Amino acid sequence: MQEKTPQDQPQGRLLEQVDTAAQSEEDSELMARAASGDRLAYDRLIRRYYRKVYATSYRLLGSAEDAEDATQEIFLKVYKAARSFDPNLRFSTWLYRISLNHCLNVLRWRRRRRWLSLNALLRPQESEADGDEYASLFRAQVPQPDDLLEREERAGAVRKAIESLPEKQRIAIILHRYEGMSYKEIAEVMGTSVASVESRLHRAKEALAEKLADLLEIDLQVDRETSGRNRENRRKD
Amino acid sequence: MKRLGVFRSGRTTEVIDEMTCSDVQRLLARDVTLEGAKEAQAHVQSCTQCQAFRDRMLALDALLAQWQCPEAPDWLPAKISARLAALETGRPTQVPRWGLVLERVLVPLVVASGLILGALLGSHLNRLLQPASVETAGIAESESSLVVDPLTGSFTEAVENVAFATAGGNR
Ligand SMILES: [Zn+2]
Repeated sequence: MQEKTPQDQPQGRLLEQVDTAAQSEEDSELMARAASGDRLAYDRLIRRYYRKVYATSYRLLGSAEDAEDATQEIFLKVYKAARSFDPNLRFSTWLYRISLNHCLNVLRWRRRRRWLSLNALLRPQESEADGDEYASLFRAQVPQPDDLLEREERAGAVRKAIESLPEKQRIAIILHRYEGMSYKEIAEVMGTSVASVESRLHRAKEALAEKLADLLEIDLQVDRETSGRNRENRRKD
Repeated sequence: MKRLGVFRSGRTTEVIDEMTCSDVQRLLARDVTLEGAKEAQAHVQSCTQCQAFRDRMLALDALLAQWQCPEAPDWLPAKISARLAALETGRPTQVPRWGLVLERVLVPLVVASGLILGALLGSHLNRLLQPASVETAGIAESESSLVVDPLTGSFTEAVENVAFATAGGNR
């Protein structure tokens, strides 16, 4: 991935600037060697990118197990398609495209299966069980420290809110907020314009702010109280 | 952005484009720190609506950070390499569809016709090499027809042939 302008940086997080032009060139070279059967070259690419592929798969598919499977399948697919790699394209862009396609296919297949599942038709409450209801029911029976429970619940709410976004907005927010990609990179991966990435991200954030309004209101209230107390303390001093 | 007026800062006079709230909020949604966007920063300082928007964006960002991704397991690269190696070396050669047709239909057919031909040839050779008595020749013919020749008819017919030949011999 390329260097980012300050405005391109995802908020609240410093990015590792690992994706230099030199690395991109090296990636292409490794990929060319992999295409001619050099497995060691491909191993280097795997080690360099498996964490990113895993993280994106996790965010899109929602579970560690699915992310592990997806990461393996994606790297197998990439290797099989090595000969079709266009060296004019950045390897990371190509890899992300294949990763997204794979994860979206898994999601579509999962939706179709759920839709076809007789079980889902007959017992809708139980089919929800692999989601949050059952998990929170289970958690409720296991004593856990309050803050841990709260953090898990908040993380779960964020995940659900992101999952409920339209597909393109969801991909944009995951790649930008969590994978630290610039608008330009996201546009390349998604095969769209920078302007449309920007508008998708804007709409995604608005939608998320709305979906998570209750939690945000609590946080803002806490912030207001804290800054009020600080002002009061300063005044007393 | 709408050009509104001329501002004086220090000794130089510069033209500042006054930003609307929606311009500023678009920038805030892009980067809540507004790094490098001085005009927008100035706007936020004097606009409660944009301050509220900024606070919401900051809170949203902090909230999004709470959804954390587990570490990718260390064994993944080795597993992928192992699967690739298995794919390259030990992969069972994929049988195409026409291959399956060959395997399931043609091969049994060839084996069966081979057996039939072999048996026919065997019985023929048997007759040539053992010019025995009428009785035994009759039995041999009948028995061989019973076992292998699919053209000689049913099992009972063959048994009758045996009986007939034996009877003829006794006569
Ligand atoms: Zn404003």
